[in-house]
Amino acid sequence: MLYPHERSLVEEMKNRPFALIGVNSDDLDRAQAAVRKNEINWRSFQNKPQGRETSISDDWLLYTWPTIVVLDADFKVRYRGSDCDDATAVARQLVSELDGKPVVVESQ
Amino acid sequence: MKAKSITTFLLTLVFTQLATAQVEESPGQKYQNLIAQVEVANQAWKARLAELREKERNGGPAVPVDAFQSPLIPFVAQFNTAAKNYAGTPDAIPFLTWLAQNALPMVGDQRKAAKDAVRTLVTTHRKSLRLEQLEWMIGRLDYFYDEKEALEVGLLLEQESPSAKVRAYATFSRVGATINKAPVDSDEFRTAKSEILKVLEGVEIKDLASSVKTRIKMRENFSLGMSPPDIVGIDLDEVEFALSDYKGKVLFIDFWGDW
Repeated sequence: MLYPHERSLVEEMKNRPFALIGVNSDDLDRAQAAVRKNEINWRSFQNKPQGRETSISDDWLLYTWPTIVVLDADFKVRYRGSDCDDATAVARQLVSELDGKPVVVESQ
Repeated sequence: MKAKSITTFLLTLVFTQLATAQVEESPGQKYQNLIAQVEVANQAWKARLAELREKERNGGPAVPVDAFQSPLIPFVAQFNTAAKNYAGTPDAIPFLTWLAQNALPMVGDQRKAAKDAVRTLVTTHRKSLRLEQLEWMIGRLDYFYDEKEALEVGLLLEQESPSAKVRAYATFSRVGATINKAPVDSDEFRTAKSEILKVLEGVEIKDLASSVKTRIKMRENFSLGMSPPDIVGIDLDEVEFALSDYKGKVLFIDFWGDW
């Protein structure tokens, strides 16, 4: 599970030009329960909420789960894949380019 | 004594003729006989596996690993021998096709026999309609040859196969890597796309067509540097918002589930 990593990423990026958004594949009850249980502190959509004709993952042509997509400030794809470390590195670099603060390097 | 000798002679004659008939089994009969034996072995294997699984469900020992072993393995050598006996003639084609379709997931000599069978089919028998049964194998000739050879063999199939399906798979084998890797704004990509879509228009291969079209759509619409469609709706707290509201920030979007 990526929750601890994502929670710390949200914390690390507080007050910086960054947002973490989830797209959840479960039904609404299960998704809401998961948010509470795992103390998820970022906004999430349902992948296919009631009334929506197509799922977000279909619209985005994503066929594997979990997948992470990183968009830059111009809404362009800069990372697409399932490696959380690679996605985080790309996001940190982009945020650093935006606000001029140095890239955070995690201690090993 | 004389009558006994005649009987012995006649019996010998009958057995000799039966033996001769056995030797002279036609290629078609040989193939049908082997297929019938395969079917019997397959049914026996399935029945045994079902029985072992039932015992396991009822608290018996776990199904042993060897019970999952394909019952087709012992037949590979027989199909291979028959293919060799009829080598270079159309009679070899059914045996080679069986090897290609059945022995490729195996290992060692069986897998080698399957790969050799595919190579023989797409070269020696490239004008046979039976090659249609190879499907993805023709679409991935790089799996059986090095890059240069795959291109040469594929081009011959595109030029000489009487089957539109085989030609389409061969075209895919040639342009597939370009569709998958070349920059979408390059002439190389545009040419490959136009070629494969044109070929697929004239032939009914649903799986290949949908896979190629999805791949092209994905590459053209969602490659690095492109903008995905906006997400608009309500979040899990039932608050309305649009992903594009976050423009100006770096977005880390996690497609997740509570699995």
